[in-house]
Amino acid sequence: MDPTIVCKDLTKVYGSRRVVDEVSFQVPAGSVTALVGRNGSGKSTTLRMLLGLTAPTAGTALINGVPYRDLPAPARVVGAATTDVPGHPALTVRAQLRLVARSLGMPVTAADGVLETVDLTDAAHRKISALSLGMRQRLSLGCALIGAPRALVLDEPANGLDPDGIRWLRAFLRAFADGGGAVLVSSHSLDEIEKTADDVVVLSHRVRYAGTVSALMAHEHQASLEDAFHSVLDREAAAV
Amino acid sequence: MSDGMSSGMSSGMSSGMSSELASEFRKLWAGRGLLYTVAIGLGLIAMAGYGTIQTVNDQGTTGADAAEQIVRQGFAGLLFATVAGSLLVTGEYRHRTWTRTYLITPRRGRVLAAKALVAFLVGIPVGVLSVLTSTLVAVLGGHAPTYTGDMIRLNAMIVVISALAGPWGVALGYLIRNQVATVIAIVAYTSGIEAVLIVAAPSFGRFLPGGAQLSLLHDPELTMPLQAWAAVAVLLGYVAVALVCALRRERTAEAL
Repeated sequence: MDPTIVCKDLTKVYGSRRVVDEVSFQVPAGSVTALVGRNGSGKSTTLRMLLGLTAPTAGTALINGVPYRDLPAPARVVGAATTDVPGHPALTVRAQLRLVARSLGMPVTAADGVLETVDLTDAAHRKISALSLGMRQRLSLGCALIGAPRALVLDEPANGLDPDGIRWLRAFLRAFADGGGAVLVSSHSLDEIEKTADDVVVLSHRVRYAGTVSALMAHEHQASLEDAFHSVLDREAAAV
Repeated sequence: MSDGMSSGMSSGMSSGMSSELASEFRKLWAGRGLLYTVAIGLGLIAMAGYGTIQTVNDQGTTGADAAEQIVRQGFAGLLFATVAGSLLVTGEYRHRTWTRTYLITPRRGRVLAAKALVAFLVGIPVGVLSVLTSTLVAVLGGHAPTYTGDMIRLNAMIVVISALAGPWGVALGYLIRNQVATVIAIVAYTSGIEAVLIVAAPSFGRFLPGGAQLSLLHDPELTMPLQAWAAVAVLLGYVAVALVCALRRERTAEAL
């Protein structure tokens, strides 16, 4: 089966800064792939290029073989959640989800279903401006799920979630992938990634490792993903 | 990652635009910016109308001339239609909601076209309310208009100008981006800089948006008016050029 998401030689240059440098990786269907790296390593920029939010300097990012901007109904193919505000602050949670549903040509009842999925039913009447960070994350995820996509691209989705929310997110992403979906998620929480992801891409402007989580730990002779991650990046820093 | 203007604009005007239009209408209503803008606008039109009543009474002007001068104050509605159009864009920058907008509709030309069309459609009722307000003031001031050809034309032109002002505001919003700066620029240019240029250099000023608008209104202050078709062409030209400039800038911009 062809991979759902393919980034090939993706590059972004801001002035003299090469923020993302010839990044290539694939996300197959039925798997969770984690994009990990330190702050400023290019994770969010890579995801934004994949989602058509930032124009790449070079390279390609394809979803089902097509750039995001050229997908006929992209949000019904890929559910995306970024760290940005999930909607107009004056809208309520329910109104925002219904707005997204209508925009995607879905019935408004889809919004009500998603409210339950992301556990925001009790906050449905609250304005976005009054939501906590964790609730905003849930709403972003809800917006991503309304189109019933077969792929998810999530930038730091666990930020602000409480322990129950993190556990729920882990189970949800695992079930989504086990159902044949493709998940690409960026995170700083390496413990969580170790529990959730099949594959990992270690990014420090360039790809430092791309492969399975278990293979990375074995290759680095480390018992945890966190230790393996630091081993890769510390070796790179020593080489520089 | 291509988003050429042709593909963006042409596809934007074709299939399935209704969802984008509905979305833009919903976002415009979400805040109170539109409501405040229109309320302030109508209040200022009423005040300008009462001021004009004092003037025509002092001058002893009566009949159709007096009514026309008062009703013409509805022309100021274009200022608020422009601001309303700009809110559709500057609100996205202010609240940093472009990401969600472009995740749903990644073709930026399509989003721009939807915003311009919504602003045009909003400009129509803003123009109608502006005319109704200035007409009501005229009636209350004892100068009820008689609907002859000139008065009907004046009413219609105020609505047309207001409708075209909406997309103009959208373009300015894309080009200036900051909400407060955009509103200040619109007010300062429309009621200050442009008004001075039209009076100081009428042969040049008539080709400015304000000059074309005054031409359509047969405003006696404009000494060298354009013909109606030329005035409409000038206004459409400004709107088209401004929207193309906005799209050229936006198509490669970071979505915030």
